[in-house]
Amino acid sequence: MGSLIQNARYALRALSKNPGFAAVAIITLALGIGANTAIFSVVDTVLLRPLPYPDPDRIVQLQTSFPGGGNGVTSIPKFMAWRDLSQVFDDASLYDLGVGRMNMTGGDRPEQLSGIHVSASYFKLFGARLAQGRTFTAEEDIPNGPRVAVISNGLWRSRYGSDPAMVGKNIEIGGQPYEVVGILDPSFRWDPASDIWLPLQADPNSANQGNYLLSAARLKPGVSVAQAKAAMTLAADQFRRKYPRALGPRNGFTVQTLEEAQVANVRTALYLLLGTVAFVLLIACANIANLLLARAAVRRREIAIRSALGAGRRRIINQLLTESVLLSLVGGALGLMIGFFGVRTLLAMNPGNIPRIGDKGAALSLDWRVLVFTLIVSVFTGILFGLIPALHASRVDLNITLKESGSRSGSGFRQNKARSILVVVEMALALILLAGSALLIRTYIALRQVQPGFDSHNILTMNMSLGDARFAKTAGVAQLVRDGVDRIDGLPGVEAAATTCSLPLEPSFGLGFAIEGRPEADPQNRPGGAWRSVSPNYFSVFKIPIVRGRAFTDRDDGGAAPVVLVNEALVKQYFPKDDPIGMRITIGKDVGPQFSEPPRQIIGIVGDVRDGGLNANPFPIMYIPVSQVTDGMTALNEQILPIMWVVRTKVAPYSLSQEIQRELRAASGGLPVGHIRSMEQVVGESTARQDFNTTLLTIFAGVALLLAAVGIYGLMAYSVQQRTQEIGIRMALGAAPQKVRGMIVWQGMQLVLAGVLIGVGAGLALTRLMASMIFGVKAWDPTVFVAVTVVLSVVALFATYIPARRAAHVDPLVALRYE
Amino acid sequence: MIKLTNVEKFYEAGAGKTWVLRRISAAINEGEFVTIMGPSGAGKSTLMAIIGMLDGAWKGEYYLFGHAVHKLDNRKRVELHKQYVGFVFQQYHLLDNLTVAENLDLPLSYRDMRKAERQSLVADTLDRFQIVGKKDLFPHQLSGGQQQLVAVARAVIGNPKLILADEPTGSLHSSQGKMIMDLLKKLNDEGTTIIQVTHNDAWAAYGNRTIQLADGWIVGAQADAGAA
Repeated sequence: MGSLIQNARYALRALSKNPGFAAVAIITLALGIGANTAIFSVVDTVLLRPLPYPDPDRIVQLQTSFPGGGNGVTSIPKFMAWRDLSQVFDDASLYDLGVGRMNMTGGDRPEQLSGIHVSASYFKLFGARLAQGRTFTAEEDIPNGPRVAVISNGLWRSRYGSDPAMVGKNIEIGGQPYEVVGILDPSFRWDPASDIWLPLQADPNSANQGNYLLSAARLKPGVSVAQAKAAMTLAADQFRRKYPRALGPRNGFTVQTLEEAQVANVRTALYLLLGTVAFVLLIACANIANLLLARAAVRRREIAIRSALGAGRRRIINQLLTESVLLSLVGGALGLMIGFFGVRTLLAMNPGNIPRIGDKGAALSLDWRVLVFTLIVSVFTGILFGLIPALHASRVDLNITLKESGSRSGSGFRQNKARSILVVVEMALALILLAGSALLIRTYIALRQVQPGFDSHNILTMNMSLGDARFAKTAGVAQLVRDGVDRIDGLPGVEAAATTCSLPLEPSFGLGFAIEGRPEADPQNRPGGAWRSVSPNYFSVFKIPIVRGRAFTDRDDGGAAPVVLVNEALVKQYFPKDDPIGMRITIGKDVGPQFSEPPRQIIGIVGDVRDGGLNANPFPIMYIPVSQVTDGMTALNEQILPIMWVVRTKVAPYSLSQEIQRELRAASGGLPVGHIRSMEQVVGESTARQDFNTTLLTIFAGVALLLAAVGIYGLMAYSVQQRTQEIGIRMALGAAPQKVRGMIVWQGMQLVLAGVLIGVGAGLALTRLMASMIFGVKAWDPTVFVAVTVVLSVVALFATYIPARRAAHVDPLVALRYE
Repeated sequence: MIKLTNVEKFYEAGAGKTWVLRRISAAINEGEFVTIMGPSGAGKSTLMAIIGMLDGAWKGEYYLFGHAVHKLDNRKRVELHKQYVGFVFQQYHLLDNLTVAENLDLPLSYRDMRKAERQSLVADTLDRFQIVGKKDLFPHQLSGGQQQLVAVARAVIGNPKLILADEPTGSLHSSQGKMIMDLLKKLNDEGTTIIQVTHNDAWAAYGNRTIQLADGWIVGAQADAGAA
């Protein structure tokens, strides 16, 4: 311990004597370690931190399985089948997606809040603690049960001023009074965040096969995931016998841990980013190892003296490693700050749609795992970059070194070889990162060149929750839509207005249909598509072309013949040889009474919209006039999704926001609107995660390029300094300056070439791992590899040219006196 | 105390060998003050490095206090070195970043001595060499003679039985040189065996015996009359 402290003291003094070296090393390390801390803090929050519920690894999501995967959204009848599996599950719970909005009325000004409907067992399953009151009883969670609510601690504080007598009071939601029975403890967190919890009050006898809910349960003590899956398989067989049309023969039931269900789709990208920053750190290590090797040449005398005074090789290595680790610890501390606050800033600008990350990355915290990770990375880094120089230095030839008079001494071939290898490795790593980054940049460009099938310019969107008795039936909604659209259309600057149940690129639900005149398909192969209820001007607002037939008009109302528009993808898939116009389809057959409706006539074909994302092919979509939706479907829609108002403007869309809100409040009798966004913003949000990955990888590749350039510059500058005398002799013998310059540049570019060749080979192998993250470009895209090779080579050439130019300016007379 | 038999050292040079030392056989007894002389390139410093176990690549037999050095691995040689040998160099070789006291402490720290014991030895040595007032100075703040004084103090602080002094006065002017040689003589009188390399006949005369080297061979040995 004593010698460690002494080593550390001497190391501090040695570093303070070389502030330039220490600063370069610390900044390099801070960049390398900071990048790692940044990504690890995201990985920690998203993948490693347990869910904030008791026994989180025993909470499973109950899912419908299909060949190749599972799906969490489920129906009431399925849940009822799972709830009976009490031999494997405790506290099986059903709840909605939590994306709906609730209108808090009754105050000075109505307010839109986030809310979720849950079964009574939900609070026990997720271990929700209460600040006051209680959660729902089983008696309250029955169809047409009492109107009760549990509210969040935040809402209690912000809206009700922490009223100590809040429990037992009524609040007004959608014009209806609800008794507050409980206030949750601030420690309870739900993702997405919620203000109000209402009882789901699902009918156990419901035959509604619509999948719009989520279900989770706790594994009973001693029950494994495999045992739960086996029980679910048996339950699927029973369910299929009971509802043969609701579960296809190749589908079944399964479970997945809730944590896995939440994060599975971001895991690959996060691990890839973690691998990327490991590369950045390796480059930083190679750079500092190179600096240390150069410095070790200067310190050979000191090391020889220490050896002559009895220091064994281990002591010498310990001393040098203490210096390296000290450097990396300081760099690590700085990196911790850079990384943590850097990623928080990036997430604040672009949250990247990453689950569990909180609002603008608020869930990220410097917990013990991030601190321990940074400490381990720092110590490991210090040893990694310090070991090779320390081993080299400890092998010093004492006899020769001690006979040398000054501190200036040449370095042996082995040392330069080690430094050259490090530079080659740096080049190769930098090329791989550049290639990865370039592929994502090309993806970014390709996504922006994609024709989404609609025009997103000059469209303002906003939602309105219709949880109000006036809009419980379709006629009320249709009237509201007519009034609202009329009022908005009357505003100067508005081109067209419409409504939809969900925006393009945002989730919607799908329904199967039967084609009149064709034999009924089995449930597994029944035609289906996304279902959208829209008002007549929807296609004008989005400039979605009517390919054939006609668009909806105001005459397509509840009293008119039922009609439907389909997109080209639907026609291609289900009517490849027929003309669908005039044909009739029955939508939602056998799914449940809410969905039952008479056949609809296909009156037109509209252009495709990339609804599943800009990087996904268009899928079949059915468009239904909002005034022809069944009452049951309207009621269900109101519970799941708010209505979306979409307005095409002739001026900047946000400039009309206030007027449109005013008209909508007037049309709806005071209902609030929320989530006001331009359609361009919606499109931007749909690629937020790819953009986040692209931004990060580009930053890291930039750092890698800079470090690699510094690395080759450092080596060549050192080499020129070492060879000053040789260069002087060459020039004295008649070598022209350009010849000398060429010699040095060629020496450097040989290393660059070797690094590039290795990098291209390794890059071609590694970029395949990015296949799921790229779009519109192949992982082996020759343009990308040629471009990054050129960029890296040009930067390296520039970095090599500077010392080469210096070499060409060597004065032979001065150089030959150089001792 | 020291017995060298047919010690040889060479470097590979292309197809052949460049010999540095040839068939060196010599014996040095405890308490002797031996001077090694010879022209540049004769192999003097290499011989000192072999005796001091700084150089491990050689052939022949070498016994130090009965230990067969030629049979020891590097780790054991380091231990033997720490136990018996102190070095004084022409260029002083003090560590620039360490103070005088810390330079003195360095060899003790490599002997895994307790801190209190080391501090006491450093204080004694500073006192003995009358450099207490300079203990917190850095080498560049001292004159050449003072630096070599510290270097000698550092060489003897571990109480070695053998001091190897490679041209200890080579960088000093004559009065400083005399001070150092007097000091070495005093240490020799107190029982420390000393082997020095020098080109200076006056300093050679401090020893009681001279070994002459030329082109790696011992070309002569003579006993001197005694200290000057």
